[in-house]
Amino acid sequence: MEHKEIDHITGTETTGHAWDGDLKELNTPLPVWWLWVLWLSIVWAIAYSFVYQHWFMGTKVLPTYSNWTSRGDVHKALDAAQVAMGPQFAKLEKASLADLRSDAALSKFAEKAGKAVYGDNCVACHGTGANGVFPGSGYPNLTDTDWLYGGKLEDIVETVRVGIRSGHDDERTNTMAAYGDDETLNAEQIKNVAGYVLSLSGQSLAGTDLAKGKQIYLEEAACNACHGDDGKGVAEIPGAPNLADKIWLFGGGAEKIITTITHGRAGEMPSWDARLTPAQIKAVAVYVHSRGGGQ
Amino acid sequence: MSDTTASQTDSKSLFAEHEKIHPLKVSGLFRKIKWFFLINMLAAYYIAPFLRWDRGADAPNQMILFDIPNRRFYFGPVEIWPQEVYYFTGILMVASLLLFLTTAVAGRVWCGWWCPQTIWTDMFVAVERWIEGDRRERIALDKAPMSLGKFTKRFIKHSAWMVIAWWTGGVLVLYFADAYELVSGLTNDVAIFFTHILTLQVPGAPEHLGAWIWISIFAGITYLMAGIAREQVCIYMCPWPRIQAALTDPEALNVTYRYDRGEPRNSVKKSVKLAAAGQATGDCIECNQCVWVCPTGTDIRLGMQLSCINCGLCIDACDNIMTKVGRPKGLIAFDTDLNIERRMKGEENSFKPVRPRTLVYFFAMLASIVIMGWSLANRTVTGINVLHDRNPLYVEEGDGSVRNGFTIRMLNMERKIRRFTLNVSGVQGAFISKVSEGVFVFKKTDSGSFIIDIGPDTTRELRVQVILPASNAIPKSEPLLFTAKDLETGERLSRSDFFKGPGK
Repeated sequence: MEHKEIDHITGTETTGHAWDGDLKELNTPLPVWWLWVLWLSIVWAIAYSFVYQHWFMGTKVLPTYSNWTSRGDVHKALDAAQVAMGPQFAKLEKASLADLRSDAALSKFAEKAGKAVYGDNCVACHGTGANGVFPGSGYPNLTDTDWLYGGKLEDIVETVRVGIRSGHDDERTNTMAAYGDDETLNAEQIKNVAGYVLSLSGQSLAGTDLAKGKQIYLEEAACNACHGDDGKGVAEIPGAPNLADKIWLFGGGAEKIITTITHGRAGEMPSWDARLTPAQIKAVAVYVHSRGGGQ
Repeated sequence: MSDTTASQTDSKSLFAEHEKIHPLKVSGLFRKIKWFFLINMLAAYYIAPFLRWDRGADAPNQMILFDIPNRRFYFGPVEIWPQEVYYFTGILMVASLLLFLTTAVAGRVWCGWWCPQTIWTDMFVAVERWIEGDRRERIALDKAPMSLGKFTKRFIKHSAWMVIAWWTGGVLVLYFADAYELVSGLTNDVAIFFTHILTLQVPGAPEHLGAWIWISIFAGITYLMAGIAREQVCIYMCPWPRIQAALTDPEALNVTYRYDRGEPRNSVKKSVKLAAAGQATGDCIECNQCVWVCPTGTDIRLGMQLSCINCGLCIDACDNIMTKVGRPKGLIAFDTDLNIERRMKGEENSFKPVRPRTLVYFFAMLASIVIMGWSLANRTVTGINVLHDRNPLYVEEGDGSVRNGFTIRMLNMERKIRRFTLNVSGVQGAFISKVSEGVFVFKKTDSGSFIIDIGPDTTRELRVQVILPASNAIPKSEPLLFTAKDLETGERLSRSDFFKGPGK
């Protein structure tokens, strides 16, 4: 049957199929190897699926021929990163804090490694920006220059290591007494001393007797033992905040200060001694220090 | 569907029959042009990775090098960093416009003379011709039953192809690593492999496994495309013949069979008789040489078509025949259909290589080259980028002052250490309090600016703290300008950002 039907407009042969009575398709044939490429691709896809793709049998996931998983790749990459970072971590492990200050490259590595340690362990309380989750909530802002237990690299390393009221043998423990709960001071005395404390940072509380407040601060309650005569703290007693500045760990203002004096304060930070390696502690301390508040 | 159409369908194949194309040897001007480009372009391709360019002790001395692991691209004096890949875009634009221009002037000469597919196919066909003989011998060999002689020829041919393909891939990888080192490394791999074989040990994975894999991939593709697929690539795989239709116009020169002169076709004897009898006869003697020499098997006498790569070999073939039968050359020539129509109407030929389309392509290309060259000549080899801390935006200190933290990345593309001072301006009273890298703190000069050294060919990321003391007006947001000044050259780099605060 050699009857060829030629389309008059294009001069091309038609396939002979007719739809809707007279609609025909032009035959512009492909070479047959294109079809082989298609079949080959299908064979390839099936083989590929058994090598890389998990098939299911009922609820069971069958293993792949290659045992490849994207999770496995992540683990391999992480292991490779550990190996690659090994020499630098070893160097960090041995380095003294003075070394870190003089070696820019090592210090940089510590900062970057510390960022990861910080992200995994510290953000829950101190926030992703290291500025505390909520101001005045008791989680200290690590970006400012106000430090309860010292802002030098050594101090930060030690605080991370032992924690605060953490149960560690060397824990940092200074506690704000509960003057109201202990009945050391009555409500009026508390109000007066709160008024005096506010006055140290240039604020005032209506209806308070500053002279009485000052007397309580210096004598009855002996606040100055920890916070200093001028409210700026005592160098020998870390942990007692500066009352003369604008930073309030548990919130400023009369109400919060009265609450603090009445019930005391004892924030906690866990010890990371057992959970982080010494190198990781150094790294995270460098990261915290480099947020801008480090001294 | 009616019965008749169904039976028609049954008799017809929906696939094109593949006919092996055996191009005939030809000599002439266009063959010379093709050889010229083939030899020079292949020479450039094979030699380029071995050329050297001195960039100093710390940098690779290979003239053209794509250093992917270190993210540097070297082209002679130009060193491109990853953020400057737009220069590649520029090169591609210039290349595209050049392609458009040549197409608008002389048709698909890219396909016929310069395309790698054409060059390698040409080379593979030349090898085939050298081993198996010219067109007639090859057709005979195809038809002949398998014998020792045929097998030997085929074996030698495919081996030669594989060797060429191997070298093609082998040279390509040299653009991505130091050519001399890689060549000696690969040679060493081969030596170790054969030592193992000769001492009856199982050879282990070669040291340059990655390079071997890439060479194999490129070699395989070369062998397949230039040896087996050939014109099938041009006709069925390549998008360019399709795109070309949008770029050409009736004024573009194309390899054209001048049917005004050639038709009606007759043998030499018959045409002499017809001419003597005063009847019309054309110059085409239907010798089919133009079809036989064509690398894609095109019959140019059917007019411009997708499979014609405009190489001009049919012009050579036809000119040779015309000379032999004593007729003027140029029955097939670079010409336009418009000219054929003009001649048939008795008008003069008219060629217009300079016309709006070609002018637009030319000047667009020129503009691209100028812009590229200008930006390359004036590009900065240093840079400063400032990133304001997002969390927290600002820190309020106990004494009421406000501090902003920034991450600054300084970049030095030169091959020497450069020393900068860093300062801020724009916010009354604000100053840089600290520049650090981790806990490494940079030194401050007596005048209060920080001194920063940036090593050769590196970037340095710094933490910068800017303080605004409480005695100043604290803004909510105010523009802040960072300025780094090269202590040696006095060159200044500036980048503006903002100082953020609670406002007052």
